[in-house]
Amino acid sequence: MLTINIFFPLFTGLIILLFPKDKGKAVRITALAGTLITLILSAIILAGYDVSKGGMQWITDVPWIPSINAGYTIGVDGLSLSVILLTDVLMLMVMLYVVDKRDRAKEHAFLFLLMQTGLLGLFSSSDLLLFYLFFEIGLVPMYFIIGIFGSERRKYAAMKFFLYTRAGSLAMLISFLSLYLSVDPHTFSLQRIIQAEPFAGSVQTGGFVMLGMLIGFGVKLPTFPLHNWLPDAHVEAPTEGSVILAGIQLKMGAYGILRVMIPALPMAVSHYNFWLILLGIFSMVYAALAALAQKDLKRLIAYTSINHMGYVMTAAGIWGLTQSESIKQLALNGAAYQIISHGLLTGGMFFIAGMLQHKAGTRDMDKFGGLLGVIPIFSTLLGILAFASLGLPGFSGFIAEFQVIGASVGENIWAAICIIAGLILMTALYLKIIVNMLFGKPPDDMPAVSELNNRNSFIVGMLICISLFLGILPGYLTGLIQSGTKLLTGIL
Amino acid sequence: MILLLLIPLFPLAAALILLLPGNLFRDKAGIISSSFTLISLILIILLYSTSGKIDMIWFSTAGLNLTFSLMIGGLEWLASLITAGIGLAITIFSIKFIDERRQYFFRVFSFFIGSMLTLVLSDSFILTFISWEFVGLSSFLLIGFWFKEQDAKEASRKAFLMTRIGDFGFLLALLLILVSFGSTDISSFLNSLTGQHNLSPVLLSFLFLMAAIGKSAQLPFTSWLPDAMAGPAPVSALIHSATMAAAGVFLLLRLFPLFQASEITLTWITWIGGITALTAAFTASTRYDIKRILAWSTISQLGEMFFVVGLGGALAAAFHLTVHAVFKAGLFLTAGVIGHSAGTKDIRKLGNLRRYLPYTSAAFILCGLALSGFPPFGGFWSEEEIMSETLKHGAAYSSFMLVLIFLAGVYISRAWSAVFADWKGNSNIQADKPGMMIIYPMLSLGFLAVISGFLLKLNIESLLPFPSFPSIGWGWRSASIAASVSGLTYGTLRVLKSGPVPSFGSVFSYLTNVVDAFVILPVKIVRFASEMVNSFEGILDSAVKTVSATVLVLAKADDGAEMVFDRTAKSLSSFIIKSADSVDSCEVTGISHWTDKFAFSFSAAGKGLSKIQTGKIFVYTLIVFSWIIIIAFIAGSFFVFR
Repeated sequence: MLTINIFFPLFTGLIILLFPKDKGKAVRITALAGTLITLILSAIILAGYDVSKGGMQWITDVPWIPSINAGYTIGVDGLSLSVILLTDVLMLMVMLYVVDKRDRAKEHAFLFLLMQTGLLGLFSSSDLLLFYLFFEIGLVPMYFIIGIFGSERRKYAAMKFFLYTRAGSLAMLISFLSLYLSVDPHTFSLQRIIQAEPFAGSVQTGGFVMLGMLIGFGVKLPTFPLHNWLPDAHVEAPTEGSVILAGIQLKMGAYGILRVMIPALPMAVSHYNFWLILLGIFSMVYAALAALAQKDLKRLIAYTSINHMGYVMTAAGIWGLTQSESIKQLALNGAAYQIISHGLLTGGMFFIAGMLQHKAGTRDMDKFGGLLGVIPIFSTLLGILAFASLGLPGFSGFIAEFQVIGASVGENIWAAICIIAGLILMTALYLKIIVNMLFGKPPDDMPAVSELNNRNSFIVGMLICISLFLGILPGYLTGLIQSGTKLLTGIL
Repeated sequence: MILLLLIPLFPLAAALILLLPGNLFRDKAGIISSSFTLISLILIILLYSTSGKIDMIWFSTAGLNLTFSLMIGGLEWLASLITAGIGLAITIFSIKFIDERRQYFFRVFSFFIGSMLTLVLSDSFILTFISWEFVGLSSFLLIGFWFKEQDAKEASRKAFLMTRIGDFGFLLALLLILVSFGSTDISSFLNSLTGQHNLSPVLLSFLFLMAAIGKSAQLPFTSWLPDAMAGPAPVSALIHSATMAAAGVFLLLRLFPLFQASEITLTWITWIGGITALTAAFTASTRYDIKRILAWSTISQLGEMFFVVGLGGALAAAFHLTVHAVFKAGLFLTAGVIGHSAGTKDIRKLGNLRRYLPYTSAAFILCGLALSGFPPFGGFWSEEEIMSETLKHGAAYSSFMLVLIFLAGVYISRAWSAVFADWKGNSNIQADKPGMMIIYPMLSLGFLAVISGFLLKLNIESLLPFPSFPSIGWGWRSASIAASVSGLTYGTLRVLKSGPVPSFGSVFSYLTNVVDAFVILPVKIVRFASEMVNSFEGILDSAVKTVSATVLVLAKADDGAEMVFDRTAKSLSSFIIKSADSVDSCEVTGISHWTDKFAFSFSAAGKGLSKIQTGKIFVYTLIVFSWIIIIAFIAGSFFVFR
């Protein structure tokens, strides 16, 4: 069942390839239906998942390349299920957003569907080689999406994206191989590697292995100083590409940290916790400052992503720092909640930035003013998203952030204060968006803008509603996440 | 106790009803809003002198239970009574006063009152924090109600940002308590202050103090409150009296046992409050905008409350908070009427409005006398309580209070005379008479300002859990009356003689520049840091480009490289298909292939898009791509064959 879920988007994509070239509409509707069915399939898997039991379920474990002990081992726990559902929801919204785009519809839909298979596979795999394979399948289509469908400097951005992520995943692969070799008998099975506790005796070797993963996941997260590809990629990518890039692709790094790095190398993570925390909070403050200086709305949101994902890195460091099981879990819960929350909110932000650009032809924030009086629905949605992103209670972001800050405050109050400094900068930043763009009088040379149509309002409104639901009633998702993170901490 | 739950829920429900789309309730919005607040008020009155608590678990994470609980005791009852009562009067006033975007206005207004009621009734740190943030959000939305105006735009930004900086102190303290104490219940935390948890009351109380300073606009977070009068008058009335600005003092009172456990924090509170009160009172005597005068007066009065809380006089502070809420709400409503009827709020352009606005003038006088501590009006009683507390600490503190009382008399009588009296050279401006729906709420607040002090004096000691103190002797009492009377006289005479000039010379108007420096400096630092980071980003960008360019040159240097790469790539990728069982070769291929790609991509860079699709890069990437898909198929076939 899980296998069907993973490969269903690819299957839809292959069907689409059979369509004649001029059937743009049919392609779009098939793709939309495909993502909808995928979402339903994932929902069925969620319904069949026993939260009270927790741990890995829906397991399929067959040998794949027996000679090197690599298996087709997939399964889901609460953590992966929530990321899978996020992927499905965002993909559905993307397909809905592009439903009336006719330009090269076949290639476009195929690339997105292929990527979805890669992402779903990544979030389900419990075997490192499989993990790596799906990681690549998730990455490569994005290169084409930026390169073919992007704006003026798309080639430069695509190349930069590609080189950075390639270098990152190679470093990751080397780390995976050393994990493979360190376990006797050699195996790629994540579970067996975790049980064998590789490099338990040698923290330094473990540190190098961790560094490899840190580069691999850090590029995707992204974290300072590996973030340089992100602003360009976002600015040049088409709207739907940015949404997926920020909404899910960055989560590949975050998910990798939680799923592979921490469980496989707990000793190294504990030993180098200071550096992880430093990396996390420095990225957060740095990105917030960089974002403050931006004039391009998309570029600004890109930098805020670096800030938001810094919570995951910091949480990993705090996980290593603390002795208390409960704080460890709080940190991981917060990080996982942030993954979901950021996917929804920043996805929404990129949608809305794209919609604005589509109408006005520019994203230069200085060109806009007083939008609340001109296009009230658009402005209200943008305002809500901004408040949600700055961590207002009632939205999912607050739940995520207070768990991470809560985990750090008892262990190292300075770390918490640095996070808060970043949050203050973020507050100023989002207020700048709200006040400068929505309040005041429209400048004389403001480009013509028009109100969102119903479909676009629905897309953004839907993402806001999910975030609001997760912010007001966080119990279900924290329970689900915890059934996964409990496993991560429980083993150790 | 279900009634307790309903108190905040009614205004929140009104907000929810008014959220319905369009302008469904455009004309009825005010009626809905005020009737729902009225129900809350009735419920509060019904719960007089009861105590009780409701507990709910919101959610749990990592073994920590986050609770939502409401409780009512004396302090909570008094605070919710002020909120709902004054909120109701202002809502009724707004029905006729607000004439645009009514549904929006009343939606946010109800939400504001509901959030504040939650805040005062909450017995859980997390719920208090959430409503604390919601109060900040509603203030932002209401201050920015006239969002097209430049000053509303800047004021709303400033209000939200400055108060939120303080809010993070609250968040840190709350999280410290959550992780060390394992619960966010306020009562049980206060009951076990001396218990076995390694939390320092000094740290916690300072963090909470930060939040209180932000909301109550004490130094250095002062400047947002005077700017906040860019919002409509009812909004200012609510913010200054019963909600936003009052929340800070309320927090000090609610967590008073915690502050008591930390001497040093109390000292700080006294000093911050005292300096703020004095600075703000002098500043108030120099302003020309009637709403700004009132705003600085609020800051000064809140400073007075901080001052006395720091000395240990929680009861006096609670007393003054209540009385102040009544007369300050009344004063802001009269200011709204003045601005609305006469078309300006600048006191230099006003004068002799008594003839047109007799009721407004009367309400202003009643509330103003209450402010100045004139007997037997409201402020007289509460300030007497404050004096009796300060006396315990020494005559210097009490004399300081006399100065504050004198200054309050000066600035409020200056404001009244400039607006309503016939001073020499006034412009004899005309004004429209307001309707009854506007006059009634205003006058009733004026009436309450007269009697509230005396009424409270009878009950407050039994109502609140704070220690009471002996009454002051006739010596100090007559001194305070004298201070009030001389202040009133001085302020009035000066206006009658030389017009609405600053009462003590314009020197004091520069005090605000000092205050603003607290704000401008950090903003400048952040701007500078942000520019630095941005230029560093640029450097990073060009560094990456330089490295790539170098690689490109190296790649081009070898003409044969392409051919070699070409061959290896092809042979290796076919090799992979055959031998997927050797992961080491996967690795080699991966690396060499992508080095190839690296070189290629740069040699192709700069050409048009069509090249990407038809050129070599596309073919190459496709090869890798099919490589990946083929591996996937192998995986699939394994799966099928089993």
